[in-house]
Amino acid sequence: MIKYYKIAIVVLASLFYSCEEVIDLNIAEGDVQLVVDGWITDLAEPTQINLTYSAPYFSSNANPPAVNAIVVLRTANGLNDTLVETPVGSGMYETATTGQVGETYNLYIKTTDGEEYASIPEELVSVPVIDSIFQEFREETLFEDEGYYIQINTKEPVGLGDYYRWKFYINDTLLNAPEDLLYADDEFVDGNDINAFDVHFDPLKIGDKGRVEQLSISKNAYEFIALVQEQTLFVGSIFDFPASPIKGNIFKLNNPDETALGFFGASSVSAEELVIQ
Amino acid sequence: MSKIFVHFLIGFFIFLFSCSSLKAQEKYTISGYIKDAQNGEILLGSNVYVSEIQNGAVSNVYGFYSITLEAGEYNIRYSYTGYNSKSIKLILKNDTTVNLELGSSNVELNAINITGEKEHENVTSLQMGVEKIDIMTIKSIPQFLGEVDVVRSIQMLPGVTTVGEGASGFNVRGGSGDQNLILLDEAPVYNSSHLFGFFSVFNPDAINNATLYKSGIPAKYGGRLSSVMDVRQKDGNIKKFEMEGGLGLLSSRLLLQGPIVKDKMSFIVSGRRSYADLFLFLSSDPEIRENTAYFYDFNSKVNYKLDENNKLFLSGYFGKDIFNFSDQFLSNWGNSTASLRWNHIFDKKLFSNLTAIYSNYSYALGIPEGTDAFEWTSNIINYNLKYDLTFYPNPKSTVDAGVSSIVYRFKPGRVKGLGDETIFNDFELQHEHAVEPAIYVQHDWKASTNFSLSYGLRYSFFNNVGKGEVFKYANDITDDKENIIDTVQYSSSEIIKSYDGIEPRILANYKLNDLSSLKASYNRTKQYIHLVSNTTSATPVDVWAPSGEYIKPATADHYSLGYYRNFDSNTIESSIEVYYKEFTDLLDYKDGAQLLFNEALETELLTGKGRAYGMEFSLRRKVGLFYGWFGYTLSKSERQVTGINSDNWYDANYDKSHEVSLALIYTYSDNWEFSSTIQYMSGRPITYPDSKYEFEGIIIPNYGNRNGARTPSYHRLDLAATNNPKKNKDRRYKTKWTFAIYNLYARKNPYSIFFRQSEDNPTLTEAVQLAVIGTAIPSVTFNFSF
Repeated sequence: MIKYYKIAIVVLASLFYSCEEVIDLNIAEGDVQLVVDGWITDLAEPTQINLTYSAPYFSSNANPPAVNAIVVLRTANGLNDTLVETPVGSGMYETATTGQVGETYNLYIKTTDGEEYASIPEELVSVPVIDSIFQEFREETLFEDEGYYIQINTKEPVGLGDYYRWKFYINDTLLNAPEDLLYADDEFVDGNDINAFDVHFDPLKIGDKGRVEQLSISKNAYEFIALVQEQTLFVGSIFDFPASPIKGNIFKLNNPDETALGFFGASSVSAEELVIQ
Repeated sequence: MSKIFVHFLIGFFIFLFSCSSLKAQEKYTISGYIKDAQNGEILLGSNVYVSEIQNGAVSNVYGFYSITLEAGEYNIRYSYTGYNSKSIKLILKNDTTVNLELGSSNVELNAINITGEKEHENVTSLQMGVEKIDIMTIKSIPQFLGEVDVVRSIQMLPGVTTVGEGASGFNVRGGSGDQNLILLDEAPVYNSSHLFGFFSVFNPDAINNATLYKSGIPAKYGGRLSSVMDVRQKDGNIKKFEMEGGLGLLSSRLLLQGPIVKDKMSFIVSGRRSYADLFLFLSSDPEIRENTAYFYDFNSKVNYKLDENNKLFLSGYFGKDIFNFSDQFLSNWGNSTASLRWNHIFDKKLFSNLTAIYSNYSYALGIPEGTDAFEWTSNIINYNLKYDLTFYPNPKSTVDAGVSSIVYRFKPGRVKGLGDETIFNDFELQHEHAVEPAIYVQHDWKASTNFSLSYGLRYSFFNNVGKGEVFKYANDITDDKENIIDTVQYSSSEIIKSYDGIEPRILANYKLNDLSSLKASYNRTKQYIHLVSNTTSATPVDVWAPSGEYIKPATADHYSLGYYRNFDSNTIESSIEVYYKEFTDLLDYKDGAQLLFNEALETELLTGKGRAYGMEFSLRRKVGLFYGWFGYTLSKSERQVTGINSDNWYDANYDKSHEVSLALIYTYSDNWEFSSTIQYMSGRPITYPDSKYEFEGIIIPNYGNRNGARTPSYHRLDLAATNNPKKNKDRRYKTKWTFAIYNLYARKNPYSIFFRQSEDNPTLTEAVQLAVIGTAIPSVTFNFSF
């Protein structure tokens, strides 16, 4: 709900004579930091952790991969599963282990420069199922383009403190612009039937396949994703939030005050698909 | 109450009595009101000068003055800038009332040149850092879209900055936007902006005068750290009925005023409405046509003179901004204020004012139908009763004293699911209540011909009271809701937390000679309520929060020193002031703080300190065919907050190192007046990323030093021409055209620089400079009156 006001205000402010210009800037280069991009889910697919390094802001190259690192997936119950870099030299580390509800996961990472990192443990909690998925045709409005939109029905279980995220794929491609980040907590909807819930903003055409994933996330993950959106989407108006570094959940073992960037999360997923007809 | 304060009070009154009872010679009082001859509006700050004693008085905010002299014969001159002065000869044998009306010298052009009177208030007054905003002058300078705006105009004064074009409010000497006490007929205005910040809520037609105190804040004002903007509405023409109005590109205005009972009772009503939405109808897109976007203001006042010694005023303001999108998203916000005042004169030497005040800021937004349907509302309401006394024992002394009590009611947020389909539950944050009593006393004392002193004390209290709940945290560590271990219930009116503080206010003036003086001041101010906002410019949905169990009141100590010098028979005033200001217990926020609908707001808060210092130079010519002002400010404003910027000091968002403004108004003929303003400001602090990284395909800027970089500088030239058609002269119906160009050379002044993924190629990143106004904006305004 808070988001509505943010969106409304950004739209309103842009009604004025604002004009934007891409400019050239010289920016001092900061320290290179390890970036962790990984998530363990209970879907039947391999768990993948992507390690890179931060790069100068205007670098036109992809961020360099962190290769030859030791990446270990651990649980409170003693799992100690070393991931394999696949393919070698890609910075992408994989294991066939999938997540289980009730288990608590964390990562251990040792990079080639000898630095050791660990993530703050994340509990994988259950997520309600998507009860139904359906399509709706909408005409163009100020906020939306004309086309087909997919909505879902689900139930929010009684009891505060649940956090959710939705991922949406069109024809197996994840929508991953900052505005596509969709997340919520249950503060205003606790215990309710959630009906006709919109899960994406870009319309689909007839024949397109839409896939919705409903993820349970932790409070830390919720705050991380919210900050990512705040720092990438809600910029460029007179109501900007203060620019700030985003704290993830990975820190150096020898100095917990030094962190790596990014996040390692754990989610239970319920997914549904629909081909627009 | 503090012992020191009691001792001070006792000592103070002993001092007063000793002053006034030493000479038991026959003394009488001359007192009365000084008003505008044409409409009976009061002239605040008029000078009353008694040649025989080379001393005098200044009329107060209600236009009242009082001088007590020994029996005898006196020559007294009454003067007010821009008005023809009047001298009277008086044989004082009894208490005498002299109500005087001064005629505006602008009526006849020729008169302007002869106003070279002994007008050296700038040098002699017990004021520093005070800007009187003359509505006539701001009507003469170029204005954005032709809308004469008090707040935009004061942003042109030295020591006043803004985050940027369109940002709400203003910043005074390194203070944040919520540190300004903005009063409309003594009622606090919680959000002074329309259209987010492009315009202010003050309809210039309805305003008599506005005064901005940047330093040397009198003891009668309290509750905010950095400044007071005291705006007074017109009383209404008590002599004849008048109608005036205007048509502009953005809004239309209409004002009616006149006597209800001539010379006894008058009224004024004034309305303004913007018609931005009218332009929406021109759009070919039916969806856009269904949008609504406008604001309006309604001002009114009635005043009634019961007799020579009693006057009543009732005034009110009501304004709103409304934005509706195709019935899909509705929102509105606005202030309403009301004040009832009773001016009573006891015995010519003692003036009193009793005021009852109501103020309410509210907003509502929501989605009216569908599964997301909800309505979200929030209010801050206050009731204030205050009693002010001004005592004029002798020409050397004026004593102000008073009591005030404010009762606050905060309703920070309520959400209601609408309709049957909605997924939202009803939810309301608990209301908060607070009481803020204060007492003050201040003595303005002309100790000798060269030295005068104003010293005062304000003692303020703040009680956060029930009914309410307060969370208790494990080990008192309030940084996470998970640390909540208990909830303490407070019953209605039970005190949850109390604060109090002594606020000394001292100002000294040492006159070097007739044309120059040195002034110094020290102010302590306390602020008990805080605007909780972490965006660059405050938004209309930000809420105010009281000090309480976890939020401490903020304090500022402000030292300033100034040199004042007048030139050319006092027609040119100049001043240079330096200041240093220290802030403690300022509120700040964690990164990504969730400030709305948070019942444990304390978990998102940080506390910091601030410092600001600078130098302000101002040069002003108030009279003549060519008049205007020049201002230059060199300043710095910084913050230090544990948890932000690695605990290092960083520049405040509105820190502008250099600021230059120049306003020139030239009266070319009876019919034409030309004006121009130039403004230059250093860039605003912003934060650059020092690297980037990728997470799930989103490229995230990794920001470095908070506010470590700056936008390019801001500068702008505006022009205006005002035409008074010749035919105005011989008729009652008068018209006026104003043509203006804002941002003449169409500079795209940067508001901010932000960083994003390129729209064409999301793997690339780019820096984007945002200009809120990127073009020259011409405007034409038509005004009429009869």
